[in-house]
Amino acid sequence: FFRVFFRLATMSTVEELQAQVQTLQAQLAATKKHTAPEMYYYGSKLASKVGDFGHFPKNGVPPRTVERMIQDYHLLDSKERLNTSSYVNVVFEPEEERVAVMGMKINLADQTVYPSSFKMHDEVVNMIGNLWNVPPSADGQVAGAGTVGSTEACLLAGLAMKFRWREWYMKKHNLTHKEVLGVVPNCVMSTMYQAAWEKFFKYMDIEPILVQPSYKTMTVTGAQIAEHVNERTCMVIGIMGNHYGGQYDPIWDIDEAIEKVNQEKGLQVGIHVDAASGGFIAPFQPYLPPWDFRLKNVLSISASGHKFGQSVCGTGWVVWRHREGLSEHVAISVTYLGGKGDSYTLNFSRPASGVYVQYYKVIRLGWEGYAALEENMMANTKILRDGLKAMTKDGKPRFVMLDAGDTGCLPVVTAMLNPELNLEYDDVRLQYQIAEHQWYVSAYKMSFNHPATEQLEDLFCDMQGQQTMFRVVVKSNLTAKLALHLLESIQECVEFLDEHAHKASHRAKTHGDQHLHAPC
Amino acid sequence: MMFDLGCKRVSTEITPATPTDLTEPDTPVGQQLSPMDHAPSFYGSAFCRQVPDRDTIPEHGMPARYCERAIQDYHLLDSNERLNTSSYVNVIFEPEEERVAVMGMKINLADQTVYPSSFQMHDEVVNMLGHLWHVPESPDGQTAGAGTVGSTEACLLSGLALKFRWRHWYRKRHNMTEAEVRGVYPNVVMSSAYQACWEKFFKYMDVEPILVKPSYKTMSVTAADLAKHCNEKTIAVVGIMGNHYGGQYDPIWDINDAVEKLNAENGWQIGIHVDAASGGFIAPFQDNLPAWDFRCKNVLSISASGHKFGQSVCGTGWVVWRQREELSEHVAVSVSYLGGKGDSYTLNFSRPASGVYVQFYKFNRLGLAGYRDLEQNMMTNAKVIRDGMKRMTKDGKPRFVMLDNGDDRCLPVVTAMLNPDLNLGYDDIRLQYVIAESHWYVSAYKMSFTHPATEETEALFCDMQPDQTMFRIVVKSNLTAKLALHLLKTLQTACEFLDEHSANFITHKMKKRMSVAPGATSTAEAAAGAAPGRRGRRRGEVARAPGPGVRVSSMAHCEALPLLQVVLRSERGWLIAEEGIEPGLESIFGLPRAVGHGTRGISHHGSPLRACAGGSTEAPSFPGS
Repeated sequence: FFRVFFRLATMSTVEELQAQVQTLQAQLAATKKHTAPEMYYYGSKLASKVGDFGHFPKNGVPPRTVERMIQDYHLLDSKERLNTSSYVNVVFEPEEERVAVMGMKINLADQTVYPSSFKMHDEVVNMIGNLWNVPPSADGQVAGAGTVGSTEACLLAGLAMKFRWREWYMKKHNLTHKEVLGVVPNCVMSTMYQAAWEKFFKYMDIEPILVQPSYKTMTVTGAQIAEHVNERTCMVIGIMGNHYGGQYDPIWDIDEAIEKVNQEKGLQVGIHVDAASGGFIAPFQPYLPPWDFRLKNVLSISASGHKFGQSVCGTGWVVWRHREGLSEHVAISVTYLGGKGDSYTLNFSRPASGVYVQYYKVIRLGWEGYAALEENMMANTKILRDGLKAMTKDGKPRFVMLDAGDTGCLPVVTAMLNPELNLEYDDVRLQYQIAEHQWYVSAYKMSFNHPATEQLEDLFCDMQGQQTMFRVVVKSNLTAKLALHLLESIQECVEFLDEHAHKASHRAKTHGDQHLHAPC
Repeated sequence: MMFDLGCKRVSTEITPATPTDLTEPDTPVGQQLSPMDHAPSFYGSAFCRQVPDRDTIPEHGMPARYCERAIQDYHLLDSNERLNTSSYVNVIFEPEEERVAVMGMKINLADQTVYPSSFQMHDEVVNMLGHLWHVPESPDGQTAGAGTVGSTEACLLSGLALKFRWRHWYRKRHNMTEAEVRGVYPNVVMSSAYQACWEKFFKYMDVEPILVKPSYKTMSVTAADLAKHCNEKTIAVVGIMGNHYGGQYDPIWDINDAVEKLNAENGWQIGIHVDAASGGFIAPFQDNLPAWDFRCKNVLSISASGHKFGQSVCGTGWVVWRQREELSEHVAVSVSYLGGKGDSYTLNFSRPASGVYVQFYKFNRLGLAGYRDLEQNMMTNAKVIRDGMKRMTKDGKPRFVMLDNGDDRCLPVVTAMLNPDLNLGYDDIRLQYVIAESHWYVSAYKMSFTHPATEETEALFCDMQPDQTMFRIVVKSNLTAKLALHLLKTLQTACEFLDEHSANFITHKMKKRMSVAPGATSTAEAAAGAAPGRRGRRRGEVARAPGPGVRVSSMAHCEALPLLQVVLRSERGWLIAEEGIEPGLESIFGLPRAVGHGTRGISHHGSPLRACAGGSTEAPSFPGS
């Protein structure tokens, strides 16, 4: 109205005014027709419109209509609560959703405007630091940050290690800053890495030195890692819970091996623990040897808050052992809208929802609550595992189990169809069959794209890359009841495939390259 | 039936709980109920009378409603987001939109194969953006681009693509190996009015910043200035469509011509990245602008924040490339993922679909016509504020020197500084804190920035000393004409208040008081001593050192009370009565931290309290959103 009034006021003659009023009236009528609040979506032109989806619409439509349109997209996705391929938490209490919506309006980058929300962030960092036994810091604030996911957390941790190494290498070889830029450092880890590291290698100019584990253990030993360490190694990475089988790399062994290598070769290599999935499981498995900051050479730990941290998608955490010579390298001192503070982020503007929901879960559950969840998930994993083990064909077990078993690992069941059965179908084919029962179970080949050469390589040292496997992640919402339904579905599917696979086998082949790299 | 068996097992073995435990949402997940569950209300619970150990995960859980309330209390102590004029981030949503966002929270956009339909929506939004910015049609119908967490990720991705593109070219040109070219340090030429993300690009991606300082009168750089600094190691020139300080546009059209000429003369292949973080959803609706987008031949990529004038939710950014070949393919990580394979243009991986959902919502809800309406309303309301400020005078002179572009061809931003001719006893930063008393957050800052390469504080503009201050009001869609009038009135009152309570006694008398106050022997100690008491307590450790707080009480008795009230109110949201603070209560108000700001985070540069406690004198400069 203001606009209309403004326009009218600038008209000079009566004729012009009249013409203007007419056009405006016509425009108004057109808009009204399109945006009338009573417009019934399924009776509107929109519901019978084909194409033009890539064009910006000319006029808007009522809120309910848009909501319905978006629901229709969502409708055609898989069901997130039956998605066992993902570690991401998808269950929230109504209070929690309200808290998340409240956080959507708070820009965490705006520390000076929203100091109280940022204080919550700092408190959560401290809590997580304590959970992982970080040594007390001089100023009481643990060096760490909330991130958008463990990818950002890994990249930040990697960058800090890279800059730390550069400083050391420059000194050691008496190089200038420009000279050291030309030296490409490396990073030693298992081939079981998650996608974040591929980005680290590619974008931050790091040479990956990858160690292939056995498919039977899916973990690497301290000796295997230490063997590849040289003076260009900026870090070694231990995985607390690889996403394929949920096994833990023996950080305790790696720590000893690195300690030895550092002493022998005069190096200062540190360990980063990628605890994307295990960060909120391992602390509740008291029988584990120390794997966190209790080990001297562990310099940083990253984890996804949105996995077993039970927060909302888009929450990650990184904690450093200390600031000096480590996290300070990625602490951009942001002088920001009348303030100044450390910002440990690759992203800048981001909603506070992740921090809000993480804080919610921490105080909602408490230590006991997380421990109870761990117990429940491990118990339900065992139900699934035992069920799969019990399935046989021709007197032989149907599945070869590939995970770590019932303790000392993530709540994950990993298996492959028993190769001895010489079945006409593989695990990938099985995945598609299971999907008919609403369940999304991911299967994949035991191969990966090497980040440096971009060649397809074997994931394991003792199994060809064509072999398939599948994985079920038991999240908190996968109750015993649902687990039994999943078992029943698998049973029905293998029986169906036993009968029909030879007819359908060509279909499986067209699904092609099903090697997995980086689920979350 | 196995199914029935499952039911029994669930109810008898796995969860030995009463039926109410299964249905009552307020019971904690933990096996044991904590005593708090039986408390009548949140405020009657133990939680509300304990000084909690905030650095350790609590032993027991608590009911859902308590958690919600506890988080609301944190939120309560923040500034009001709708009155935050320092930020470009949209904070207004319809109820349907919030429901859509919550739906999106459960969808991991990285999981393309499980949620193909949501990812299709992402691709459609990218296409719509390409359409809006006139991207040339791609052979497969899919515009190369990506939704990101914000324009920072978008800028980093486009910067990386340009860096790899340049490497490829430079390597060929000089016949180098891959390892050799990695040792060559490329550069980017842009204005010093850049946003924070570029600092990360320079630092983390090993790129040399070549920064051109504009005049404070225009805040935009000329094409000639940029072209002068280009060389064969230049990966790109970055043009800013709407710098955040004053909202002016760099003349992309001119830069395009200049780059064209440079490339032709030298055989280079420098491209332009347009950082349209704020202007990406404003400029397309301003008819009087020359071509600034992909219509300019050398524009290779454009980034924008969806959560600014794109009207989406915080955590939404977009990048669109001119084409895939030799450009975006360099950052396309081909993710073979859970039964699928696709390009992933992200630095982040797992992220919620909320941003895409809300962006799609807004595109369809508003349409081009709706965005145009918003642009016109915001520009009109910016003019209301601008005109109002122009009319304010003191001693016959204008109170403010306007620093923005005026009413047209710019972002809806009002930028000004207190007229230096008036020789006032206070600066714009002081003004910010007094304005904050009336709920408004208006950001003021010095005209300086930290150089990303040298880490030195430098002048932001070529023709103004770095100590000069300025302030900025971003007119977002929710800043209606009515609110604008209230803000103007607030400005007027604040100036009058400061005219009367000139800052002199703060800088001299108060400083003296503070430095001799008990609990600290020097101001440096005050800064250092504040933090340990507050943080880092581990289980069982009793903390909170007395100290800094005492100084505040002594200050409360000094003549600075009116100002202390203002600061407490504006900085921490507390209303303090005339009598001042009772000795000993200051720790409850969390004052120690306000006095001797911790070693990281929220330091309010320029606040009177801070200045007294020997706080940072470094100049703030990189607002981003």
